[in-house]
Amino acid sequence: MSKLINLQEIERKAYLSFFEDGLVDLLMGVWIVGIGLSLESDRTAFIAILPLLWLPVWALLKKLITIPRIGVVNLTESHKKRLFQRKGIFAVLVGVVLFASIVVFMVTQEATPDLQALMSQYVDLFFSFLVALFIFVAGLLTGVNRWLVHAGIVMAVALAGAWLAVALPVHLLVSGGMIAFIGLGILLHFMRNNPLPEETWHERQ
Amino acid sequence: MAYLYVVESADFLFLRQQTSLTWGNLSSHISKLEEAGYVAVEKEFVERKPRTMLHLTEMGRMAFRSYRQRMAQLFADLPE
Repeated sequence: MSKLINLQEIERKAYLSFFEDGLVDLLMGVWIVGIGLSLESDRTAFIAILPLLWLPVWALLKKLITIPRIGVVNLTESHKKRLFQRKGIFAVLVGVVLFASIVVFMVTQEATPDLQALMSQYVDLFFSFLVALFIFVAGLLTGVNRWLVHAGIVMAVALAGAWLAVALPVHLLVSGGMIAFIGLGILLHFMRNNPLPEETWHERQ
Repeated sequence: MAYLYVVESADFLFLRQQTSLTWGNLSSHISKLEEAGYVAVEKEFVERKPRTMLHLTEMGRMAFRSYRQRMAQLFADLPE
């Protein structure tokens, strides 16, 4: 009784309800598996195309699964502005990392054979580090703490893969599969805890 | 009121999920708040399905702010 209503916590809870269905986790895992398969089949262009397919699929699943169960909320303008700023930070980070990767790639082409050999030895870890970094920063910016765990899974599997001398696509398939499996578990839990309502208030009136 | 205060608007289902109230209980609260002029109820159809969107009116926001200030003052005045 001695505590006032914590509005920030209520706002946070309302915002995080967007992510409690596990759809992003599931699609994140599928995306990482897709990267692994693209590298395995030598069709690297798919790595760029996959995120474009990801958004409409996410929106469709959200409409079919989540909204009928937990409803719709529109955030305040100030909250939307804060989210826009965070997305801007994420976009800048993606740009910087991609630019750095291109520079590293170009330097590698001009490097001595010894340096090229050293870099090719660690390219798997570097690639996994990029994927983990994106997931980690997305987790920090959105406040979805379990994505930090997903980033940890990607790095842990990559390190284990390097230690066991397993090729890059294999550990991306493993870590992506694990994250997709976690996402599927969260989705099933969400659907069980939030069954479709039998009637709406609108229908009762 | 607190849930509607921190968002622009929300539908009835969202409020029910967040507050864990029953349909009847929540609709009774909403009806009283609507009568008092604190909550505006808008019924719309999205892809031929009915949706009831709710948002706090300016009077509702002012009333909630005033309530919070009074509660804060009340707790501040309590002895340790």
